[in-house]
Amino acid sequence: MSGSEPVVGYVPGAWDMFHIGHLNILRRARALCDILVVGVVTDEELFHAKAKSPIVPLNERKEVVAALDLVDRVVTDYSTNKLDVWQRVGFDVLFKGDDWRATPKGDKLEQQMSSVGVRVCYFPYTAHTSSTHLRAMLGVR
Amino acid sequence: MRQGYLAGSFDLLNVGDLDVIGQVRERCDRLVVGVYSDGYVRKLSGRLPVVPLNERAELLRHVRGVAEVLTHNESTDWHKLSDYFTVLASQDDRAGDLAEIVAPARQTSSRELQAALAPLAGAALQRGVA
Repeated sequence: MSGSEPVVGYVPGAWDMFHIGHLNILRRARALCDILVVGVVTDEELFHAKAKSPIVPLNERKEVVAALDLVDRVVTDYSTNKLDVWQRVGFDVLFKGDDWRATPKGDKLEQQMSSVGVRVCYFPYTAHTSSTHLRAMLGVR
Repeated sequence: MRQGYLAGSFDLLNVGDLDVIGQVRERCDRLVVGVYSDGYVRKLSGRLPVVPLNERAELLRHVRGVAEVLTHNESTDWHKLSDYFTVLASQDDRAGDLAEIVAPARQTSSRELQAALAPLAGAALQRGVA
C-alpha cells in the first residue's frame, strides 16, 4: 500500500463453522491492507443481531481464525457500534459485505467511521449462503 | 529435515483438527497434510463429508504450520510415504503399523458439530481409537 505507515484493515464477522466463503473474504481483505485484524463477534451479539446462536462458541471461532496464515491478529467484537472496537484496535479500513452498501445502516457506519478517519470498503459477501447451507446440512435452522 | 505426514478427513475444520495438526507439527520440521478424498470419507464413515475435498484442502493450505496439502485415498501407498516422511500419522488405523494414530486431545464443544462428525469419529472408535 502507499505511504510509510502500514494500513491496518479490520474485518468483523461471526466466522461460524469456518468455510471457503469466509476464507475468500479474508483473502480479499488481506490483499487490501498490510496488517489484517479479524473481529469475532460474541455469541450474545450474534443472537441479538440474528435471533439465532452460532453453532461454534466464541473461543473456538477465535481459535480457528487465529490459526490462519492470512490473519495477523484476532480480537473479540462485542458491539455493533464499530467505534468501540476501533478505539481498541485503531484500524484504517473497515471491510464490510456489499449487502450494506447504500443502506441506512451502511450510511450510518460510513458516517461513524469517517468521523475517525476510517474508510469503509465493501466487497461481495457470499458467506451467508454457505453458512445457511452448512446449517441446513447439520439440521440446524 | 524431519518431514511429517498427517492423514485425515478434516471435515468442518474445528479446534480438534487444529490440535491434531499441532501435535504432529511439533514433532517435525515440515508438515504435509493428506486430506481424505470424498469417496474415501464415504468408505470409512458410510457417508460423504459435509464439506467437499477441494474446500477442505483449500482451508488447510492456509492453516499455519501446514506446508503442503495432498489428496489421500485408498490407493495412497503408506510404504511409499515412509520413504519420504520420518513422522507418519493418521486419524484412523487404515495405515496398519506404518502410521501412528493421533487422537485429538480436545474436541469441539459444539454439540451440532460433534453430531455432524459422529459417523467418522464412530468409525475410528469402532477400530479402537480413543
